[in-house]
Amino acid sequence: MSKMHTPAMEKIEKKNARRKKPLVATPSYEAWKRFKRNPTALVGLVVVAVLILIAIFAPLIAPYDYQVQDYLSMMQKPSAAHIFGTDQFGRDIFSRVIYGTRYSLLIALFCTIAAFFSGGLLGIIAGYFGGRTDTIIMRIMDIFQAIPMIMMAMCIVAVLGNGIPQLVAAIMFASMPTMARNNRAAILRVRGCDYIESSEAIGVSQGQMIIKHMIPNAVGVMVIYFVGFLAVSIMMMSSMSYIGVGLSAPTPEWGLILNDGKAYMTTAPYMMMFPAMMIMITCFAFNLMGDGLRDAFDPRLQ
Amino acid sequence: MSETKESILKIKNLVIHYETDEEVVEAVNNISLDIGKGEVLGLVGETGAGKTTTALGIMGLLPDKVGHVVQGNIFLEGEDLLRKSNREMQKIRGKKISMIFQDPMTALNPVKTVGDQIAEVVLLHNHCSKAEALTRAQEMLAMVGIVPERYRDYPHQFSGGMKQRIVIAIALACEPDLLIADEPTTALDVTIQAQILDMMRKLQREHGTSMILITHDLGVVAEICDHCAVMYAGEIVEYGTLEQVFDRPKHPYTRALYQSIPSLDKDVERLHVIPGLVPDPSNLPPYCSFCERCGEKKGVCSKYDTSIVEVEPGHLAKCLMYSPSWKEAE
Amino acid sequence: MAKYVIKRLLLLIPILLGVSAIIFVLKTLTPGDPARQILGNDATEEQISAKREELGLNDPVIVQYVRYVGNIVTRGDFGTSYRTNEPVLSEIIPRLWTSAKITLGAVAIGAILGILLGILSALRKYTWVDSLVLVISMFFQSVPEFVVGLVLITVFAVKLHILPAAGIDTPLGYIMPMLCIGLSSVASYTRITRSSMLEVLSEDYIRTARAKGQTEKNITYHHALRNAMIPVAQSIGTSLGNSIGGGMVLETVFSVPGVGKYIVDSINQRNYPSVLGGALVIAIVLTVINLLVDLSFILIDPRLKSTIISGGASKPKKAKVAEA
Repeated sequence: MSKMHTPAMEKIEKKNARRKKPLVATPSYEAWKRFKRNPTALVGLVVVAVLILIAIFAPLIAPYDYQVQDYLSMMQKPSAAHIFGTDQFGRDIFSRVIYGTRYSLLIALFCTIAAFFSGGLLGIIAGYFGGRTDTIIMRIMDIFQAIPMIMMAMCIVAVLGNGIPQLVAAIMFASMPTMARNNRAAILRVRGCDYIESSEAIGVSQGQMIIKHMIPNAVGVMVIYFVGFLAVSIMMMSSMSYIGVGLSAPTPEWGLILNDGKAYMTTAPYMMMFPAMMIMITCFAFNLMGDGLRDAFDPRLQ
Repeated sequence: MSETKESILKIKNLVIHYETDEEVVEAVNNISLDIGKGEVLGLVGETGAGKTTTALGIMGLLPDKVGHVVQGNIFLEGEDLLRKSNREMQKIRGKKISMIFQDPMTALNPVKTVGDQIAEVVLLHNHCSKAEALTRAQEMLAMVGIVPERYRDYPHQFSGGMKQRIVIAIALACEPDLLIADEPTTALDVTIQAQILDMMRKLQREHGTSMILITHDLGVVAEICDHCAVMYAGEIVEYGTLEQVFDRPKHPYTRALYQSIPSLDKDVERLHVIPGLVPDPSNLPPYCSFCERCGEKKGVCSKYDTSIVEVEPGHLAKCLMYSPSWKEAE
Repeated sequence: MAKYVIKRLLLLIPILLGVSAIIFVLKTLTPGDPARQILGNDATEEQISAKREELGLNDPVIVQYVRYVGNIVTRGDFGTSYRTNEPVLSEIIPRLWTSAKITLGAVAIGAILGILLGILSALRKYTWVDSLVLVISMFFQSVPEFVVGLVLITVFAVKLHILPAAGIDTPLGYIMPMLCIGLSSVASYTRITRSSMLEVLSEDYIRTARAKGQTEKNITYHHALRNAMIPVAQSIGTSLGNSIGGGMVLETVFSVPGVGKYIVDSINQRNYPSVLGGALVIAIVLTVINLLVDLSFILIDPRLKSTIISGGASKPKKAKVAEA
């Protein structure tokens, strides 16, 4: 008789009754639940999924070959035949942009994987072993950090020359300090947790500790960095190739397509409009998704 | 409850819930309390029993959007605080009711000098100049035993015990009628605890302030309280004067609490432990909340709930044991 | 205090040595023979090997590195531009000033907008205002600056003709570059301000202020804001340094004669001494700026002062003395 019943409680009771299976409270399930509730993150996820599909099925979607030059239809405005128009060589911009998705996403993926295996790994090593290893690695990273990321990347490309592997290497080196720092922090956060200390105390072996305790707990944060870095690489790549550093024609990378259109900005703005839109949409979508992931994995940051 | 005493704060049938999308936490369930002028009431209970929620409810400081007073009244000298506007409450807080929080380490603003922080409350509730407020701040520092010249220092330059003195100085700066102290000594070393308690009792007596002392430490209650209320799962299960509750505990939970206090005189192998856990406050049983852990329960206990009844003059307990049906049961 | 500054200044030395080593490694990896670059393609083999000897290119790498650093320290010699035969340093300094002006303007735009939006979003947390602010500011953060720049040029220069498309011949020329860099940083300031505000607002001392009867407005602006600004100020400091060197792309888009454009132009002209020398100068400037920023925080947060004075110990010792 002393307990109250309120409308809010009824609402929740109804919700619980509708729930089919019992709650499984694993961290990743909880994270997914939070992610699902975030509409902007879901939009990001859907757009990213569409982009990936476009990249995979580029040959089926693109009506023309991205490098075939058609001198009969140069500099055409968007029409039924060329929905994004054509460039100064008569290449279909729509096809170039579609293939550009493939190139941009793939290069970004390479960059991100490379960055994880260099800077990321260094950070994990530094964080896990600590002590002198940590100090040495992080002091070296401090030195790298003194040069702004994009300047570092450009200097490396300047020395190595243009090309996809060179670009990947440049972005990898340039991102090393940030990557190392982030991953180190992720590991340290897990390592500092009481449950790691207590499993150490009950004699869990090192291998088991890494596999069973640290990786599952650090994975959320690492996924966030991974998605975030995909967006960063696309940004850096397109910025660099727009000013003519990094990749060279005829690679249909979005920044390069923009670079092609630069000279015709006043007469044929459509040449730049569509690739620019693709860059905007992609970067925005990756960031929305990354942001949703961050909120999902780390509710305290909200 | 003795009818003669003049009460300063009267809580009637207060129910406070925390509502989120996921669950409703029944933090405070239908409690009634009466605090007389100049009286010190100890509010005892385990973590999560709803002590702090009750205090925040009185202050009107329940967390935004989540915390709701579902029903009940809180009368301060006859005026219902729950009907007051935010602006009116701001005039009451700090002036009529003050609160001391649990952790002195975080209770002070790190980028303001302690003098400014004491002067702030003085300025808010009195018509005076900044200089006068700072003078008052220095007086207050002296009163709680800190060199007044240190008013220019920042909180990080003080130790934990000193910070708690400053927090007390802030709370008492406007000579409030009622002081709510939420575990004021829990975060401090044992030796400092005694000093702070002594000081609080001294100041309380000098100024005739009424006080609610929230604690889970029965020793602290015994030391400075006149009355004692025991809370369990958001309910007051026992209330009475210090002698009544300590010498003649009527509720099985209170009795169990005493048994779990380590004693220096008696040599026991193991401390008595109350079996089981506090019930999930988002899913309270419709019967007695303590039933599952109770050593004196009967079949009826898991069927009905009861309300708090007077078992002797001024001594209340909430247990089916004192209902007429108890003897018939079994 | 002076001791701390000296300590920090001494720490600069290994960092600068490291940076110069990285640049030196890149320099030695650079394709082409500097001697041939200088003398041109008509030079004979003898002339080239004489020049190589003169430049010290036949010495061991470590000797070359020591000489490289020595030249920098004693003569401020960061290399000589292939193109103009001018010392890199004297070419860079005026450009650094141009970049600095744009950076300051951009950081001001970004920080002011970001802090205001961050406060708004923290006070209206979990409402549509909050979401809208975050989504819009994130859009400008996630889209590359040069794309925003292109859009601005198309609208304000090509269509409306109210701002110059390129160059900084008139003060109006500064507007678009500042706006681009500024807008791209709004999101991070908004986010930091918001989360820092929310964190501070949930602190116990805010509850203490409420318990004093303080008004919500004063709590927000007198108690919370100053505490919340500490991480924001820190990030302003960091971005101050980074955008000076990070404006490369945007300076190229808007043809602003700053350090960024200088380096991009040098890359395209294969003018390696200018690229690497320029990068080194920028790295040094950045490191010094970051040091100054760090030192200035002592003024904001009184806690830091005693921490630093007591020799970097994490717990201030003065409190203990006072207690005794």
